[in-house]
Amino acid sequence: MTNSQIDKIIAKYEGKSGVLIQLLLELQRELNWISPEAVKRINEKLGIPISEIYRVASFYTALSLEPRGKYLIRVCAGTACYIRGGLRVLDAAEKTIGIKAGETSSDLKFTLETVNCLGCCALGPVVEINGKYYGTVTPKRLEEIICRKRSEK
Amino acid sequence: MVKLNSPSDIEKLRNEILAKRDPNRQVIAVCISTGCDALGAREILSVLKEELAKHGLAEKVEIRETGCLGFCEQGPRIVIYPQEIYYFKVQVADVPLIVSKTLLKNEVIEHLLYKDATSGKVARYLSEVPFYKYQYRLLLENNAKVDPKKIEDYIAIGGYSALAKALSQMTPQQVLEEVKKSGLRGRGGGGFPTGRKWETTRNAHGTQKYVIVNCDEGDPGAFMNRALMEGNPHCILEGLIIAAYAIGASEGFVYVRQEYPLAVENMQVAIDQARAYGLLGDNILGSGFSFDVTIHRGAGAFVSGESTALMNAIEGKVGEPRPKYIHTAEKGLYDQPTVLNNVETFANVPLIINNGAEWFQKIGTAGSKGTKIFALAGKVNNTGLVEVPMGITLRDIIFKIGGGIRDKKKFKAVQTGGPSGGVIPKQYLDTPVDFDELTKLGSMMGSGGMIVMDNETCMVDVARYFINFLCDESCGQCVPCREGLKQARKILDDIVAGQGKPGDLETLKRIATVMNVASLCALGQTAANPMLTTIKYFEEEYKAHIDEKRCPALVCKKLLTFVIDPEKCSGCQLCAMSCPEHAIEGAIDKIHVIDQSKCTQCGTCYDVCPPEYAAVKKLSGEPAPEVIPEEHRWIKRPWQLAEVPGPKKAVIISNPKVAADLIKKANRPILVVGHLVLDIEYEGKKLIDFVIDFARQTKVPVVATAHTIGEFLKRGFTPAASMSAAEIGCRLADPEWMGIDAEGPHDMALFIGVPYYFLKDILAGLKNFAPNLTVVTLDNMYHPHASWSFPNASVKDLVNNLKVIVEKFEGGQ
Repeated sequence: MTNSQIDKIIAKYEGKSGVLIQLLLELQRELNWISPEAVKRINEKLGIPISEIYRVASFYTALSLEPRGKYLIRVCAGTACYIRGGLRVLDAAEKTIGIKAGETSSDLKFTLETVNCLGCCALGPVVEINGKYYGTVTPKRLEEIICRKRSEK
Repeated sequence: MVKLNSPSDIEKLRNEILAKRDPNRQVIAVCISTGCDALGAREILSVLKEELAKHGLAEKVEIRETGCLGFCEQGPRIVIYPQEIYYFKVQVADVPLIVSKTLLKNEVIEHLLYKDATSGKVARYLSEVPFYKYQYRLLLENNAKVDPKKIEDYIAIGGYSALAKALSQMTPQQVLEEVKKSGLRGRGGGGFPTGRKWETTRNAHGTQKYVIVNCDEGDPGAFMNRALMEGNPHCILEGLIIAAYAIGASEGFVYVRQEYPLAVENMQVAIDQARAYGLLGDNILGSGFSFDVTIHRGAGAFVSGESTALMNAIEGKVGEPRPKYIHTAEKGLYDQPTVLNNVETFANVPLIINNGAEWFQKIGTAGSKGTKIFALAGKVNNTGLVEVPMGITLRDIIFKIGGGIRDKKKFKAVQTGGPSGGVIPKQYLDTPVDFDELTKLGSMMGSGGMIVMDNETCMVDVARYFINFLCDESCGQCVPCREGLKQARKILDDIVAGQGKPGDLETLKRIATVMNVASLCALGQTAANPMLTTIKYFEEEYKAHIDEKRCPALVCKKLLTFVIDPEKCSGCQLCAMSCPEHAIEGAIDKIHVIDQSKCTQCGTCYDVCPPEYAAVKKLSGEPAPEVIPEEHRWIKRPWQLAEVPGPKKAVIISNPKVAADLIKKANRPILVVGHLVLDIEYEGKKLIDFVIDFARQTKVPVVATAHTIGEFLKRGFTPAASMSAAEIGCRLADPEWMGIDAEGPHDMALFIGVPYYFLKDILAGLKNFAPNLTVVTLDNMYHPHASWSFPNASVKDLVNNLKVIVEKFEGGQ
């Protein structure tokens, strides 16, 4: 994304107070990460100190200071999913992709994260991939889903 | 949309909406909330639209896309009005039948009705379903009646009449008094009296006052706020506007966590529609009162659900709590007086205004009024959202509504209140559930998460889970919470790994006391609750871990040994094939043994061993017994295996229950049916009839080959596809083929009724060219080229096998 596109998003929030989180969320959605350029542009345009922007961006889990993969796989580690074996599903994902939770694969295809509750507790274990929810996931099923996504061009 | 300029305009609009509606018109309500969506509700919806169009019913029948109806486990759920027929666990393949039978012929489809797992009774009406029978659904019931994206639906059921009443017949002071009198207490956690909170803000000085809806439902295991936000956002909005009127606020915020995208979407639509009708904005309903709302999306931080942290987040700052010596009711958002309440609290307000405080007071206990929604999850039979009057006992919730513990296991404890709450053991099951009683037990109401644990849950592990969760989520501002959690986690990690030391429990209790007294916010102050309650009620379990290095619940992996019982092992090879460490030795028809030096205690063998055999056992605190000598490992069988060329041959299914398990484990199975099912007869029925029973119960989609398709349709059963056996054989071997529904490759193919000489060739192809496909033949002839096959047997055995599989699906899940 070019600087002008970043500026366009920032422009929407100019002159308003308390917008930093919403602005960062939108940049995250469009850019898939909060790039150093984006931080610099926000600082220049809105006058928010760089330290403050980094503080907010590193505090919230939805914001990433590193590029995220094309598929964001979030394995629910909430209590209900945990009790029903959610961590084994996570193990399967880690093994299949070859990365640990919180990491991104080197080809930028997958980012694997745990999430503390997706609110589908009755269907645990739950996995969310780019906004689509999968209920009562077994390790094998997640493995298959990942393999299918991997073979997509 | 016409702007409503007076309270009477709302009534007029309601009458207009109702006059346009035909009470006899058929309506299909499909739940498309996040839960049912994960089970495929949106696909059902699109197929339903196609089917209606096909039958020319698109105009006649209304489809209503609704929010969560609570019984998520039995989803996807649909309701057909005006007959009020409730269908559960609906699959895409059922949709044509629903249209052709229920809609066109008014016939009820038996297998889609709710069937009680324990009594086997089929429920025609919702009042016959135990899960709903004992509930009192004041808030949740409306989710079935409205499309959250249509404000007209909400107005039609009486929506915004409370707002009209408040604005036209009551002063702000009267609204406040009514809420105070009702005894409504905050549903988000602490249970602070709502009216008193409002009063403080109303009386506080400030240039601007704010109201905020807290939908940062961060407690793992709680999802009632999501259901209300997704399913009926207008009731929350109405409560919010009334609150704003009562305290004199002109600006409001709805704070939603980023994990709930559909809730954000539906609330935004609701706000836009309310604004268009003049229910938000300047001079609402001509009353002179002005108010507007903005949605603020969270960015993923558990601590942001704390009221002061949430206000920081709305201001665009890091969501860390502020010191609370000044109340937010006086100095909150931007240092102005602010009322912050939970979603469910606001949803109750219109009910109180409409029905009066006296009505509300009659529900509940002396100190806790009204109903409360709980998210029932964990090891209970019926999981989902449960709305009950305050004061109901834990036993009623878990056993009457929840249907007891899964898999006939024993109840051990229930965890309430999320990470700030605690566990409650079985001696307190008859405690009435309200704010004060739960606090007395060391737990709390919290936002209403209720996680049921059975005797296979380790309480030390549960405590460690919550401490670990809070350790990750602690904002780190204050030392007692940040460092206390870290130290507690280290000690608990040691205990579950068998490294516990004498004196650990005392240290944990000391840390807990300091955190409770000295932490900055409520999250830190209550963070030790899960640990303290488990120590209080299950101290023996901690001691077993520390002193005997034993986990009584057989959960803590480092303290376990996995062994195979030679008496029970049937030599099926499932465990050996699944073991990631190749630590299991065995062969077909040979008793398997685990090499303890290679075993990493991952538990895969325990999970895959078919329950009929249950040969893998967990031991804790005792050494593994001697393995049985090599020469005694061969199992004697009453049949002989056929001679097969090549290194691979089908595993014999000696017990049809194993086949049932295989099918249950498959993700995308299909059943290929050959024409012999029309020739084989048993008990006066044709084999195809048994196959249809089988397909209905197992929900495995059917591929009809040869001329069987006509016979299927004649019997009222619609196969998923019809093609020749050779063609389906070729397709299954094609790695690019995305399956009969184009959703992805199949992982299992079942065959029945294809002539032997023909199937043999097809299976030989699949064996060599479809390495990821599991092939199971259900015929009564041994097929060496399959992955699994029944041995040679009689027609009676064949039919019996199918019946046993069907029973397994009926009885189990």
